[in-house]
Amino acid sequence: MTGVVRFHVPENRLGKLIRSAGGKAVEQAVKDASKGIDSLRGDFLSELSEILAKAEVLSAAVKGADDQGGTDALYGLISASIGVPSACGMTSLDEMLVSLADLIDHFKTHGIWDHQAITIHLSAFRLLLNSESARDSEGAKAILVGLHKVSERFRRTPPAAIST
Amino acid sequence: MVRSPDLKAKFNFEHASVMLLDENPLSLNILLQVLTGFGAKHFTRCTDIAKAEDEITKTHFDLIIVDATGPSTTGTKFVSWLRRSGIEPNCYAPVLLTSGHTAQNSVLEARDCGAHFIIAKPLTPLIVLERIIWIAKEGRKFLESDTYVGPDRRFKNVGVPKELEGRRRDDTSIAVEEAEATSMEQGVIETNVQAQKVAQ
Repeated sequence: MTGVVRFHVPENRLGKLIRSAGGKAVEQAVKDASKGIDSLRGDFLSELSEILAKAEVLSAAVKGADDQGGTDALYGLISASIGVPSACGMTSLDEMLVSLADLIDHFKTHGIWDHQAITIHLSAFRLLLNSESARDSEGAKAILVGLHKVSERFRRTPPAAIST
Repeated sequence: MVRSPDLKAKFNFEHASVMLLDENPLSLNILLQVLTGFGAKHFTRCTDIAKAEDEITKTHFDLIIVDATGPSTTGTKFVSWLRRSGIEPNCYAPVLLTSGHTAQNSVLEARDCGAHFIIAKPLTPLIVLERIIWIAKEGRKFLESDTYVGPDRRFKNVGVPKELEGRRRDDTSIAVEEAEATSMEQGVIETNVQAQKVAQ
């Protein structure tokens, strides 16, 4: 190491504040925070439908692996939506979004594109969003296992061997 | 290591000034509800980097929560800028980075931008609170060098990896080297180290 490295301990203002008198018990704070998230549920359900519609349009518009603008837009939309379904109690939908974001990132990193794999994920998005029975533990598990198999196909196969 | 806080323990977040930077208004809303539930009242909400940089010059923040999701890398760029900005005390403020998904080519950027913690989404209130309390308790050292400015990233001392040389003066390898002198006799050890009963 050639440059100068300086260590110091800055004032811990946050530490002083949270130790000051008053405030809430952790248990109550977590309950209040969960209640606040629950209050967003109605708005978020309609937002998720809009996100799905946008994702389908963006996906259909991607011209191929070279379309960086198109793949970035779809990746940006999907990754930014992660966490929203869990706020509505739909954790399986969040797992699907993570799987889809992983897949698009993998495609972008290796310069490949498979429209069918994306469409399968978006169909699962629609099913998990609109069908309560699909969201139950067994139904969701089966869907997520299927999506995992689709993603695995691309991870195991060298990019050059995949026909796009 | 982060430990779950005692559920009965109290903390006071009422007077903390918090900045939130997230390009997605939906996840900004989730975070806002979480922090409001914790008792926070003073928020500055930003959905773009220009506003966040402007606010840094105006208000002293006790906590900054930044989202680093997606291809724009707005979150990590902002944290890197903040740490090198020299705007005190905000440049030393605790920063939590949240991320729904970190692209493969952005992992190192997220690690090296100078945040205290990265939390993966979906966020749960307990996880967010654990991280905030942990940051508030630890008062981590700050490191400034040509290549990195931010809290010390070494949480635990596990020694320098075998194949590398230490970068710090006090770095020692965990590999055991050849003894420089003869070993102590067992009798000498027993004379010096007397076993004692420990109260249970």
